[in-house]
Amino acid sequence: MRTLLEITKSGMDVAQRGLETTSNNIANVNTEGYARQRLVTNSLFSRNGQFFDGLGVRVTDVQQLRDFRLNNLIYEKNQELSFLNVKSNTYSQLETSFTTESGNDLDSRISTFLNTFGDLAANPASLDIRRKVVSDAEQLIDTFNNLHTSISSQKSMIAEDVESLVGVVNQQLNDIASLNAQIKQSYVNKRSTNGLIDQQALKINELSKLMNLDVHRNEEGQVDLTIKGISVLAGTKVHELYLANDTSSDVINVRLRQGGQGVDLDTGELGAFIELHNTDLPKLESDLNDFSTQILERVNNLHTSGVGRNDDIRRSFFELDGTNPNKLIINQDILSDIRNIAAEDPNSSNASGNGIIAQQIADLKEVEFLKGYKPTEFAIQFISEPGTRLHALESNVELRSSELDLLKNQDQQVSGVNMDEELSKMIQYQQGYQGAAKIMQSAQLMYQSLMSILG
Amino acid sequence: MRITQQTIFDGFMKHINENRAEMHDLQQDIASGKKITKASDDPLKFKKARLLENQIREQDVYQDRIGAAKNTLDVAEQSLQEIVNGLIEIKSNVTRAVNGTHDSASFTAIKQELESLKEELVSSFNAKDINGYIFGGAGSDSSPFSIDANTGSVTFNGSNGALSLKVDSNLSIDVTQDGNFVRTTNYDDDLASNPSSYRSYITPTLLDDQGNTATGDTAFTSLEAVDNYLEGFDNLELDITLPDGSSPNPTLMYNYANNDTVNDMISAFNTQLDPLDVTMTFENGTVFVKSKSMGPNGLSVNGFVDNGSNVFTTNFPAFTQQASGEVDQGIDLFDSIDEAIVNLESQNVDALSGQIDQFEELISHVTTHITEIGLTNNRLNFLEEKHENSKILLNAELSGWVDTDYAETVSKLQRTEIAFQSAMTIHTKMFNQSLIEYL
Repeated sequence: MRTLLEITKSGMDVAQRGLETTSNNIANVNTEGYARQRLVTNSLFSRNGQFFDGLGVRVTDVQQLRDFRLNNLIYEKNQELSFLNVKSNTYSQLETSFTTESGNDLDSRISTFLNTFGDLAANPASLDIRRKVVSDAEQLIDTFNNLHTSISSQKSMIAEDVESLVGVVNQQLNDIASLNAQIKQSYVNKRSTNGLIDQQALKINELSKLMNLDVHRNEEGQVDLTIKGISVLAGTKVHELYLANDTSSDVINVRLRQGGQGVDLDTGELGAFIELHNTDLPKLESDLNDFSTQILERVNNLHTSGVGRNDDIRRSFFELDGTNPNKLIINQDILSDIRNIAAEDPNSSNASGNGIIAQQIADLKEVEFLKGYKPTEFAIQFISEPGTRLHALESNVELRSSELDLLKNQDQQVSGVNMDEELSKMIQYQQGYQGAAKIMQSAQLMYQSLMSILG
Repeated sequence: MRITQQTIFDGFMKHINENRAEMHDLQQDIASGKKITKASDDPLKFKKARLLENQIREQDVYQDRIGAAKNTLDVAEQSLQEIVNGLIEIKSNVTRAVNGTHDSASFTAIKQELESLKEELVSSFNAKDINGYIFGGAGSDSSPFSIDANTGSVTFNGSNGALSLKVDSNLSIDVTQDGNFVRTTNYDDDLASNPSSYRSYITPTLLDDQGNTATGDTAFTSLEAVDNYLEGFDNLELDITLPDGSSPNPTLMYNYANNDTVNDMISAFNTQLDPLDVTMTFENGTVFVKSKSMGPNGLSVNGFVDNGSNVFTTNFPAFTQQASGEVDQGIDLFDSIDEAIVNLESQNVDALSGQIDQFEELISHVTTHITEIGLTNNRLNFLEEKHENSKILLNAELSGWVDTDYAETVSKLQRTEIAFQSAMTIHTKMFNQSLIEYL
């Protein structure tokens, strides 16, 4: 009789634990990083002569359903996708400053500037046209400067972003290290590590969006993290990163704080930022500098061979700003007297007042300038560059994100909570509990009958 | 396959978001009227569109310039017409003086008339439009023609050359001109800018076998003098000495044939003289050989040589060297008027009568300039139309690249809306399907 009550009690216990697990699953249905849990039970028995008598049931484990291999694949896709996202965000920001809907961009500025020189050729005496030459030149210079500023401000924002992201990485590494410590303790004390593993997986997921990351998990549930073979987390030991800013070469690097070993990050948000800062943006900058240098040199070559209206002094049209080697400015002599703009070729057989030099400057628009492009063509290539990059990135982002969605779906298949499933489990455990309770009731009746005989 | 609520929700959100993004893009296309506004929309189309926009901008610039050039040419034409009218009046005055009563009162009246007409002509020569003085050459800050208060002679203060305007990718037209070309019937601006280094060699007037002054069309065989001397020969050599003392190699040779005209000879020699920067012309019955490099120590013309290497030094056609800068410039408009005024003062009727032809020639000379302007205007009209046409074509092409096709976009938008609504309906229904409903 006693056994009967014990068996019944174990059945009610298991049903109750089952309901607890189910309710925990349902409660966490929307919790990020939560992997559903299942009760693992085992029947109890004793040997009675040649028979095995059942002694009820017991809970051996509350198992977490998680596919770590799938998780690793997700981490990899996270790296690729956030790399692409950062790049496309940056290029999208650049694009808005490179091209405007009004169309008053570098291409139209350069052609307007050169065309005005063409007008000056036909009327070198006109002060109105000379004034327009200066204002067109100023607008061209403004456009150059704005482009420069938008690239360099991106670079400095990126440097700041990298700095703060490295801080986030260090924080996450420390968090995971302390989770590792807790997991080890729980493991030794034979307590459930499920909740800790959930938190750990969530942290690693976040970290994987930032940089290259390889995850090595031991049987206790602790993880070691490496970046391209360089250990950043071993058990509870964290090797923190820091941002090495090489001011002389304007290059940023991430290094281990201890030992200073360089960590070559080439994916994830950090990888994207570093590549943008060290490679992509300098390329745009140098293209822009080549372009403005060409303008300066070619216009000045012609301009210094001509003379203005006042005197025979040969003047350059553009000059470099003393404080900023990439910044063009207009010769101060020209700004203070527009008659100093040289339109006239003093060596021509055409006597004074001719517009030969102005025409030659205007004709620069037909000259192959850089890489076989005419000035306007080069300007169009240049201002389209961020958009072209962005366009290519966008289709890649789409591809990677649908791959990631697929993997997340697969992960959901394993770890996700299905409400219907949990509710049916609930009914199952409820009925188990009711069944056991019914038997308890019968057993009690049996006791009462027995007692009444005795009584 | 286990499908959790999360899976359904994620899928729903993903597709709804894609749908919304597409609707947003389509709405933008419709609202802005452009399907390509930035390079990332379609880099190739964007670049193509920007190139087209640049070409359209060029057409606009050319069209503006053509407009400006036409205005200038209109002013020029009007001034030239005024000059012609002035000349006609001068001619009729001179004619009146020749045929009139020959009393000093009428000579004086006509003289005063001519003086005032001269001033009017000067003001026509100083015509100006917004770009400056039309007959001032390559830029002139002040009136290019002025009358000397003492001598009454008209001088040119402008500059040589002309200002030109690029009205097409490979065509420039002159919007101003050196007024000397209008003023003088046979003006040579090269000479004017280098008078000291410029010399010419000239033959006496050639006569044909009728004893008349030869023209370019006179047949070579009827050129009395040449024919006599060249009897029995079939070619004519021009003997010149280059500045370094050598002779041109090969020798300058003209093989003449029967029925050849003087012009044939001139053009045959010119082909060979051109590389030496020497020109041979036939003006008023005389052969000119002129060159900038004929300075004191420069090139010299020794004469025609027969094929027996004998230079014809006597009679005709021997060349004589003219003084430095002495090249026939034809008739000068203001000099002729001054001369007429002098002749009126001295009441020299014969001289005046000789001048009537001069004015006649001047009128036809200026009229030629008007005709030239007419031709240029025609050319500009043609170009203007060409630019307009290519602008229309370029705009159409540009529109094809970047403008929204409304029919297409609106129907796409409707399709997307239907998809969006269906997704919403179906998902709402699916979310309601849960075991909870049945418990």
